[in-house]
Order: sequence, then C-alpha cells, then structure tokens
Amino acid sequence: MTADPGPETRIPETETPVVCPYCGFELPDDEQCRLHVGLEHYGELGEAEREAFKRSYTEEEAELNRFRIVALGALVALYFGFLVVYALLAV
Amino acid sequence: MDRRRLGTHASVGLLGATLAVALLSTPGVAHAAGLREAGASTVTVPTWLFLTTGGGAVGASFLLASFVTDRAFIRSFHQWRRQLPSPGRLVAGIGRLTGVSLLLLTVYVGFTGPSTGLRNFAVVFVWVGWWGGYVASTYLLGNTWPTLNPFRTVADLFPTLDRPYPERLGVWPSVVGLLGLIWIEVVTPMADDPRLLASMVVAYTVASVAGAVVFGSDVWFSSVDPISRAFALFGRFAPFSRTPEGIAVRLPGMALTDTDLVSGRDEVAFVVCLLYVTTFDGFVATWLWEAFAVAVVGLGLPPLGVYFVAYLAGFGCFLAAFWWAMGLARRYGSTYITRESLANRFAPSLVAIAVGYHLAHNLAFVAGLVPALAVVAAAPLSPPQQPPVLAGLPGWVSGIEMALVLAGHMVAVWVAHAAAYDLLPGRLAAIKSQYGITLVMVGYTMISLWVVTTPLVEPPFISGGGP
Repeated sequence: MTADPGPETRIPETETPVVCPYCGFELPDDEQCRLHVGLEHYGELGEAEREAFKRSYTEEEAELNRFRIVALGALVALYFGFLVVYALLAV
Repeated sequence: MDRRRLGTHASVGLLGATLAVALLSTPGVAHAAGLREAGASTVTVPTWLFLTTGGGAVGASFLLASFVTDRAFIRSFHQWRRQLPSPGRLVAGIGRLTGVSLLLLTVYVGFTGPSTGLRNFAVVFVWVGWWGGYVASTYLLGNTWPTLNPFRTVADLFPTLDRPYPERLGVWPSVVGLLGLIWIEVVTPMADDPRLLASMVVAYTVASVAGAVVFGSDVWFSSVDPISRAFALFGRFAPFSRTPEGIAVRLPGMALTDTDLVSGRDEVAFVVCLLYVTTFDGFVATWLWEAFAVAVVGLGLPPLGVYFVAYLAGFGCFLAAFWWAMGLARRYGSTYITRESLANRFAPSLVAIAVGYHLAHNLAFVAGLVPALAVVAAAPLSPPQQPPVLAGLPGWVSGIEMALVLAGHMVAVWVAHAAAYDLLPGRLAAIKSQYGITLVMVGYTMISLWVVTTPLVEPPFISGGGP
C-alpha cells in the first residue's frame, strides 16, 4: 500500500475484482488494471508489464478513434440540425 | 510526440467549434434579450428552440472535450501556478477593521436611516455592494472573506469554550443554514425593508458569535457558517488564493479538480445546494410557479406551506439528479469507485455553473444600481431623495448574461472531464463516465436559461404580492 490508497471502492456481490498488485486498488477487468498499473506505477514495472500496458494503451486508441468519429458525427448533426431548424423557424 | 500534437489540435478545434456554437446561438440570445425588455411581445425564435440551443451548446462542449484525451495536456491546465508575495499583517488588520465598520454602519443606518429601500445604505450596500459586487470578487479575484468577515472578527473578541463539535453532523448544519438563509430571503421583504434587514444582520451576528464561542471560530466558520463555506467554494474558482507561502495564481476554475475540495455526502450536498438556491430564487418569479402556486393554494393549502414543500422537493430533485448521474458514472466508467468518491470529484464542477449563474443574475442589477450605491454611501445618514439609477442598459448586456450562463457550464464540463481523467485509468471509460453529469448539466442549462429569460412576475402570496 502506498501513502495514497486512491478513492474508495465498492464491489457488487456477484463480481470478483482485479486487484492492483502495487497499491491494492480494485478494478473491474484486466484491461483497466493494466492501464492503472501503467499510469500509476510505471517506474516499478518490469519489461513485460510495460509492454502489456503499451499494448492496452494502443488498443484503447482504436476504440477511442471509433468514439471520436461518433462524437464528430454528433457534433455535425447538432450543428447542422440547429442550422436547419433556425433557417426554417427564425425567418 | 504524436499525442501532444493531437492534444494541441484538439484544443484548437475545441476553441473553434465552441465559437461556432456560440455564434450559432447568438440569434436566440438576442431575441431573449428583447423578450425580457419588451415583455412577451414578438419573438422570432420560439423559446423551446432557444433553450435547446443552450442545452445543445453544453452537450457540444462535452463532445468537444471528449477529443482531448491526452492526460498530460489536461493536467497541464490544472497544474499551472505562480506565486506572489503575501500581504502583510497591516493589510489584514485594515481589512478586518473595514469589515467591522461596514457591519456597524449597515446595522446603524438600517435601523435609523430612511425606510425606503433604495435610499437606505443598509439595503443598497448589502444587496448591490456585498451580494452583487463583493460576492463576484470572491470568484473573479480571490476569497478575501476569511480576512474581511466581520462576524468572525467580532467573534474572535470573545473567549471560546472550545466544546468538541459533533463530528457526525459534518457540514450538514451549513446546508440547513444556506437553505434557511435563502428561504428567509425569498419569503420576506428583506430586499426592500431596511429595518428587517438590519434585524437579520444582528441576528446573524449573534448566532455566529454564539456558535464561535461554543465551538471555536475555526470549526464554526469552516463547518457551520453557510456564508463562509459558500465563499470558500467560490474562492476555489478564483485565480488568486492564499497559501502559507503567499498568494498563488492559477487559471480560473482549474483549482476545482483538487482532490481535497469536497469530501463526503454533506459537502456534496452543500455544493448542490449552492447551485439550487439561486435557481429557486429565480424560479418563484416565473409564470409557471405563479400558475402552480395559485392553483394549489386555491385547493385550500397554506401558501407558505406550498412554498416550503416545493423548496425542499426541488432540492431533493437536484440531489437525486446528481446522485443518478454518479450512478451512471460508476456504470459507464468501468470502475468500482463508490458513488460517494465519484461525487466528491465531480461535485466541484457545479461550482463553475453557480459562478456563471450568479454573475449573469447580478451583472445588470449591479451595473444599474452602482450609481445609487455611490451616492447613498457618500452620505448614508442623509441620502438624496432620488438616488440615481442607470436605466435602460443596452440590449447586449442581456446577451452577455446568456453568454456567462453558458460559459459557466462549459467550464463545468471541462472540470468534470479533467476530474474523470484524474480518477479513471481508461481514457474511453473516463469519457463515458461523464454521460450522466453531462445530461444533468444540459438539463440544468435549459432550466436556468428559461428562468433567466422568462418575463419576471411578482412571486404570489409573499412580500405583500398577490396573484
């Protein structure tokens, strides 16, 4: 345990958490745990763990890019949606 | 660094698109201004469209913030700070003296001065100078209240019993106190009646001194006194803050992500309460409330009871909406962090909304009455018959008010974004964790824009006003 144990957690009864081996912080899956370990304890990691973190980080990038495309679509829809509604109603 | 470049690009995009959305919403803003000044005359943009635009702008700022996923870049805004030399004890002493002198003058003139609100120094000073102007300085510059606070200066003259403060109460007394203060402000003619105002100030002084004598000044003014607590929160938005080394300078609003700002349900409730009370104050002066109150009182219920139940129910709704948003954050953020811990970090973002709303609410009011304050303060004992008032502010002032409400929400969206990135290891999870709070903020923007732009009516059944 480090000095700052991180925020308080509560685990639903049906689930088993993945526990961070460095600070005991509980996370819902391996993916989140690898990211947590890489962000919070990078200096203490071995080579394999660093590789795993980098892989998770890159994999997340792909998901993020999908989200960005959706977000951009939503922004465009929001902008042009308003533009059309204003053009129709605010004469 | 590729990611660094992406972050910079995203920030440029964020700025550009925010401007685009702001420009897009300009027609609505301009018409709303007309609406307020001319009553409900010709409106070229339907109200629902105007409100949806405001909500859309806040939603868009969440989507734009979601493009910024570089942790180091996000943190850099919140970590930027500089140090200035600290003011000496002489300045603090002068501040305390000024606070107490103004308190004494307010009470004296409140009881002995003219009974017309606008001519009485107590009324003009408390509402225009203090509530409008000084409060704005606590979030635009820095929280100087711990030094100026006259209640504390008076309380410190007395010896303290240092009774242990019941820990289980937390800061709940300040939530009750804030609800109580605004309740009294809404249902009594305290804004016009100098005698009543002066009595309230005396009562507040007595209560503060009594509390500070029993529990000690530090505990009283940090856990119980609602005014000190509200200003302390506003002060966390401000660029300047007092630290042991001197005066720290940070970007406005960026200190709201500090981990120590809010802890526990009681403190979260206080932040939500701070946001809620400003809305309720405006809401009772809308036609919707008038229609509702007249109908319900028509059924034979006591008017004050209706106000009171609605007041508490509204607070309950605000708390429930925020708590629901934290539930969504837990679900979509793939985390086991408790709702309470999430709330501790997300609640401070609401302070930015309260700041924008307070500024929007008071800008025109203070600008219009500053001449009256200056003239009345120059001769508090024999004020002129007709203190000057700046009438007919230009229409764009209302435009600025709308822009301030929106700006407050946009800072809030960013603070929530940064808090999520601080809490959660996954970048996508951090974005998804903000779904709930973004929805709550969109809803809140629409409610507050509606309250600010709806033509004011006299609240029914109180302060001598009737339906």
